[in-house]
Amino acid sequence: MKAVIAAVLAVAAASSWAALGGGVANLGNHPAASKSSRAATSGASYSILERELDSGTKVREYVDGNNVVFAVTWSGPYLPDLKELLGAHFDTMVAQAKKAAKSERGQVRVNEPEIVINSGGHMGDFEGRAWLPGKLPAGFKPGDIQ
Amino acid sequence: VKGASVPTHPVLREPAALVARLLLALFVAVLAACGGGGDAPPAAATPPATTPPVTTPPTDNPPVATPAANVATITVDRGADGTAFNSPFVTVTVCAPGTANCQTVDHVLVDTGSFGLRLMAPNVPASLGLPSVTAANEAPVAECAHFATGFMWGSVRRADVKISGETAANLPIHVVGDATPPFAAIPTACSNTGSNFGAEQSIKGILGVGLFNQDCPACRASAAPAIYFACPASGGCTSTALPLASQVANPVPAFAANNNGVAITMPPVLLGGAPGLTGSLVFGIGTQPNNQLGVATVYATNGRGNFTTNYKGVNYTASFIDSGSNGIFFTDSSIPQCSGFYCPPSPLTLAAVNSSSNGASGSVTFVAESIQALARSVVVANVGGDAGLSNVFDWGFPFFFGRTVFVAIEGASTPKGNGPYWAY
Repeated sequence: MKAVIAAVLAVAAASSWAALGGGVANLGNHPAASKSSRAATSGASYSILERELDSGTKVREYVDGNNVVFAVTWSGPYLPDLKELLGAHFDTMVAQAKKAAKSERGQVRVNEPEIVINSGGHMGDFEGRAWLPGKLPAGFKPGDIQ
Repeated sequence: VKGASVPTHPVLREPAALVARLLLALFVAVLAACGGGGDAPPAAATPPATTPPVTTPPTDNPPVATPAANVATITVDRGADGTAFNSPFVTVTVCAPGTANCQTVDHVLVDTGSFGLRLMAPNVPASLGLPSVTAANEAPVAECAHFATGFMWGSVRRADVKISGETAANLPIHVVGDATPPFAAIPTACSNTGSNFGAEQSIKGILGVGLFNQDCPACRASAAPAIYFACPASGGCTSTALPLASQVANPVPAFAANNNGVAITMPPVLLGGAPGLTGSLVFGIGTQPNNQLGVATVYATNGRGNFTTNYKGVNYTASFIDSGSNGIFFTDSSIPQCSGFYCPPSPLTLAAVNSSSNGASGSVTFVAESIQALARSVVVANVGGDAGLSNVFDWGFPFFFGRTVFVAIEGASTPKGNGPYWAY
């Protein structure tokens, strides 16, 4: 797979619908953005929109041919706006975190048929990724989410 | 399926498991008689090692430091509401600055993965009168502290912080869930980061004694992280930049002495876990007879507080040691999972190699036993869980069993160089 930097995007002022499962997230503040186009092994094409927020945290959104975000990642010193990034699935993460508060301390994991969310790291360096197992392009594997 | 985590299996065990435990106990007893170190167990004949592996020999510290001004006792129990698991607690006293008007708070979680003292508001009575930290516009300051499991929201106030015989005077601390106006409403820039971790009942606070001095270096010049908020009396908190001196801070660097880091010592935990455990949080590194580095190896961290762990041939470059994580969280798709933790059919002895930019490298042997094999009475055990991340190996609290782990603070001088580093 060859990454091709296609364009630097002018980020839309507002997205009409939420991120994961919809259009790209509205993260405000005109963060620097780059978009690369890729192809899964099957040939299905998708693109990766990467933005570095003003906080220094990097956010990536994996977008399919119909402009639907099917995976997101975050990495950096401060948590991003996960409600905007995860869309409707943010509530699933919060519910799981509340449930897990009495068990796992140190990370949050959601592993449902329709949504997978992994959030970890520590104060000063957070890592996370989420994807929609039913909406991955043909040939795309969760391991392709970097 | 996720959900219940408290061990549900009865105390009854299979005979084989019992025999294994007896063998292990015997083995540990022999080791102890030899001074606690010695050769590694033969691989096949013995149960998983819960003593320090031979590759990381114990330091010359006593297993648990004797009472001293720079030693706080760590207690591992069920916590404030009976649900805590693998959680190390200390007792902390906060006083209105310069006064004898004080409050002592037990069950404060010792956390090497964060920085600063955070107390749940119900444990900090308003009668203490802790003064608010203020922003440039004189508005009182609140914080949205980020954790991997969610956020903590509340006011930032100054207090004299006393732990054992050490005092950090006039230190900004986080009063979590402070419902006093104008802090009552959580701004969406905070609540949009995750779950309100501040509502957790099993801990009364978090004592962040990790590698760094403050929790938001970028906030010195920028409001973008949305960590600190100015909350004017007129209402509506807005994110703000805040000088380092006003930020919630690791108390250790603010001590008059023994202020370059900490050493945490816990005894070994046998297979099957234990109904409780006592260890020590020692302040200072190489400043007293009870906190000497001895033969401990120094692992420098990068600027984010990480080193590299190699597990089964994969490098995890954002790895860390975190007493506030209640398991060792790593990725291994070959191990079955139950309610967030691994539940192998029989205990696994696993190995990984930690390495750092200073050239240090060493292998670590650790044990993952099934969360479901633990008796109800158990509050501390060698358990692991799936991190689900491609670059993170989280050495949680079980890593501390049978070890002394040193945490040297950024920029602080120690006999083996400046922090930030871990040594063990």
